[in-house]
Amino acid sequence: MNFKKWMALGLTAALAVSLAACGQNSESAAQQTAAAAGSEDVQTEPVEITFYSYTLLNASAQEATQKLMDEFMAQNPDVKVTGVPVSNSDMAARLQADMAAGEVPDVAQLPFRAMDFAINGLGAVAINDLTTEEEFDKNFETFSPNGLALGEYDGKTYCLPFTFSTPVLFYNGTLFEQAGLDPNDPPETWDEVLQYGQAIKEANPDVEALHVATTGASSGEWIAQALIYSNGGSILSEDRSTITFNEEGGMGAMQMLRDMADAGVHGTMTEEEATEAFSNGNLAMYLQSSAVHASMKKAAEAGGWDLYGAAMPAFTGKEAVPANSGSALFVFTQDEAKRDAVWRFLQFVSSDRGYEIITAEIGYLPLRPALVEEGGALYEFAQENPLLGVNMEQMTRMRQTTAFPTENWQTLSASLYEMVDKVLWTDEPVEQIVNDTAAQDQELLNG
Amino acid sequence: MKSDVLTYGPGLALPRSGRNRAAVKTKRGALARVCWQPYVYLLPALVLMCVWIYYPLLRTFYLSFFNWNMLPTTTPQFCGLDNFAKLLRTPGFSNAVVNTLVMMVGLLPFSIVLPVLVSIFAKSITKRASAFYRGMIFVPMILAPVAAAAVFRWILHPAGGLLNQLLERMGVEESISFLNDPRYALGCIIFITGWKMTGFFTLLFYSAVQNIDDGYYQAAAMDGAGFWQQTFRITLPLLSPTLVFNTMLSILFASSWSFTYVDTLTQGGPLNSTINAYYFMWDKGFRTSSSGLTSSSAVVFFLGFGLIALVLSHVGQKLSYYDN
Amino acid sequence: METQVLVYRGPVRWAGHALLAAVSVLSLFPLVWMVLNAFKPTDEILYFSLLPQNVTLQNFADALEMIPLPTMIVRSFASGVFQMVGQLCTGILAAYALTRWDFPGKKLFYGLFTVTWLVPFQATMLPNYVNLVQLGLRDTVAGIVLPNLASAFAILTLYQSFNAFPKTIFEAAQVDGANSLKTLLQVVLPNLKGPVASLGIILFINCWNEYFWPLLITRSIDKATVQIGLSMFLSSEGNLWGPLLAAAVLASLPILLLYMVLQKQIIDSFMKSGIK
Repeated sequence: MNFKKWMALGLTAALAVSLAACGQNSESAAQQTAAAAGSEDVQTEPVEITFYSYTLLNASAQEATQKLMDEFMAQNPDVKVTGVPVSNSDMAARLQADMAAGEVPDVAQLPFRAMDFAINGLGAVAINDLTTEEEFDKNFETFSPNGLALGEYDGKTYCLPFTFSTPVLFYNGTLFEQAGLDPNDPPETWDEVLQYGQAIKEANPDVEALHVATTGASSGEWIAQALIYSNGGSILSEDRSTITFNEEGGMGAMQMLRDMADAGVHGTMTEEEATEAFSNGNLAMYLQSSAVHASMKKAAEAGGWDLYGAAMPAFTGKEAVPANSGSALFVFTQDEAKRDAVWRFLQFVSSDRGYEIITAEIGYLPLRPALVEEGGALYEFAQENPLLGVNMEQMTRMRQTTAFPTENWQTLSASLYEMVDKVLWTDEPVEQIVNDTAAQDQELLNG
Repeated sequence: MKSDVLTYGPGLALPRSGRNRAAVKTKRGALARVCWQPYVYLLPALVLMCVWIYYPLLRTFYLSFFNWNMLPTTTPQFCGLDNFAKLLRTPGFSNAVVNTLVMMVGLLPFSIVLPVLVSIFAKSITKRASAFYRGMIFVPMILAPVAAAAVFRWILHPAGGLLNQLLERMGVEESISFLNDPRYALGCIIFITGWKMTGFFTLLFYSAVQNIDDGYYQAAAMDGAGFWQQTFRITLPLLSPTLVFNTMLSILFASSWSFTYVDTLTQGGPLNSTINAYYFMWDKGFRTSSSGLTSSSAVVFFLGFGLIALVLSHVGQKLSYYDN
Repeated sequence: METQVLVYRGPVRWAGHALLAAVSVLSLFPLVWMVLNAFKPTDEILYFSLLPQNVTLQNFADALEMIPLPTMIVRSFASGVFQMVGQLCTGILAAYALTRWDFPGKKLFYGLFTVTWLVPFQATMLPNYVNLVQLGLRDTVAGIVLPNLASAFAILTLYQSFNAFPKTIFEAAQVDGANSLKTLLQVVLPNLKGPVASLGIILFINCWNEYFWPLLITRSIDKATVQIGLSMFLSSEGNLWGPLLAAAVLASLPILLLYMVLQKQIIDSFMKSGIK
């Protein structure tokens, strides 16, 4: 490249930056005056906010997460977002460590199950308090009401769904056909899943028929919660003081899993192994987060089998109630001056453009349903990925995953998948397993 | 190094005079110029350990009697032994204790038996050949733990993994979920940890065996002692300090070394069958941001390891010829 | 030329070869498998074929594109070297003090060093982290290394080697008027190249393989270490096996190199002791 070209490039870049800055300044100046009637000086140092994120520590999602931050900063030159990569399972500990060191994180990506702890343990700030009621309502006008409800706690919104997914029954069409089943007619109830599973096992004893991804730490307990919800049960009482999963609904859901195991339909693999087995065509049905869709699609193409997906099966005579997995953005900023910047960042992440990146490039769900409708930015993407439609439909009837309170929240969460492990892989009576777990959890809940 | 004779003391065929002379001289030399010199040499290590290990450890001891969420905005509340009572009630604690003990013992074949055999037999072949083998045995050490875990996950995979393929050829019909079956999971974790550590211990034992003076072997050979007699009368006795040291090392670190594999492969499961002391402290303490559980479990396991170390060093002193 | 003092013949020698070869194969097999898989396309990895059918470099390209592996390797290498040198220095000084002199409190100090072995890292992690944040050492190599500059393992291993050193030589050096530091540097250390080098390798690898502490200290991917980089290929959205194994292969090369360099030291010292 010669000198002239460099010059031209430099000039164009400078021009672009200053133009963007101009456009932004007028906007943000207005916001600044609205938020804090402080200094009028636009030339101040950019406000720096930290964003603790575990998708930043994920080789395949890192780039898109960075893109979200970069695009936001390009639009808001007065804000600098610093990404802090933290591993998913250590996020809560890391936030606490930094708080203990006197550095309060501004925005953090936490799993939904951490909500109670984030609020009561770490002092998360309600998103409503970042801005005016009017502006808040305006921002979430076209938002999925069920999606927004996921972040609600005692009447306020404490988190914004970020990478969020629902459970999907993935299935291997090729194995279905080998068992004489029609891949276009997926099982809709657990009774049908059992029949399908038996047919698959009969036709092909070497493959596993079913795995429900709620058997280990890697996916956690949220699908177990969805099963219990779907059978009319609940996890905790309304006031979060009493364990309720040992009532009829929960007991029945666990009995269903035991029936699957007894019939040889549910396999004996770990979660990761099930993922690999499904990828190499050795598992027929896999109830798992919609987030794995992209990698399953790749595996199916490489392996030459047909990938299908259906809604989470229901219990006969009841409507399936999916729960949600994934993460949400929580705000911990105590600094008033930063709140406006944080609010604008959340606005951007949950904007049409934000969900466009999250859905198309990270593989999670858009919480603005209009995006996938005709004329929306994700319309074409949705046409190419029919599974997105399944998810959008499930969103209309899902219920918030229960977040356990008290400092024992992680142990309590873990107890649910450990209960599933016992139901699937031991001979102990289901009733005893569920009651023992409930008794132990009640004790942990009491502190 | 020829001089090792002096250290190892009353072995079977060892010249005793050398040792006595050394002992006498050491006493006199030591008196000549004591005072401050050794303390200066100890200072860097001591300061670092006080700042980065003892201070936080004491803090942990202190915090184990308090109820606190570690945030500067709140103050610790004294709660006596509550944290310890809570620890005992925490699901998985007793599993962690038992599994830790199993791991301590289970690792010994990989950390002691095999490396000692390798080091002894390395004497029977040329040095160049044994260095070549030792190089290969060491290679697992350099492999990143995450990658080692990944490799073994694939080998142990129930849906077509190499081990299951092999078993199928040998007539085992049902494929085994090695990492998800409480009967096998702990054994697998021990094997993987052992596989990774064998090279490390081989290096330690090998150096010790090579350091034994060839004079003994020559003398023994002249007396007509064969390989086995030499092994039992020279190598093993002279190896005993190293044996004691390495056994201690292996036992005390079994939990810490297997931690990564527990974390990446089983997360303590299935049914808590692979949870160990380190994973317990990590998962129920640090990861849960529970200061009470972190500190009380750290105190309990610290004392437990200390007790084991005491017993071992007591036994070790009796078994060892190392009596400088 | 090496001289083998004793040459065993017959069954013992064959047994020796058989045992060492068997253990070597067992040690190497998973590694060979890893290297082979790093060259396979994803579907072949998933389908457990042993030898690659279609050899590809795609995994390496992906790995290098997805994470800044070279900077990570440099960072890990720097941490490893600093930590190793630090632990060797503090270890050599302490072990020298403990073996050369008898002095009041000797047993106590030895005990104090040993006890640090028993301290689980979970007990020290958080307070140390808070300290380092206050020192402003997050995202630095210093932050990774500083809390680990003294190692009980290094001290105690060196103590053993030093103990094997003839005390008469200390005396002789002292008579010659050499001060204690000079004796250490000019007389003791040159004779202990082998043990120090093998300990060095182990200390370096320990640091290289560290994951949790560097992760806590790191605040940006550009400042991350190799182990953090490798773990980035594992996630709940699906693990990227090919790039993980390819990155792991690339990441083992620097230590392999270091091992070979230091290994030469070790073998030389063994050879020398063989010849005398």
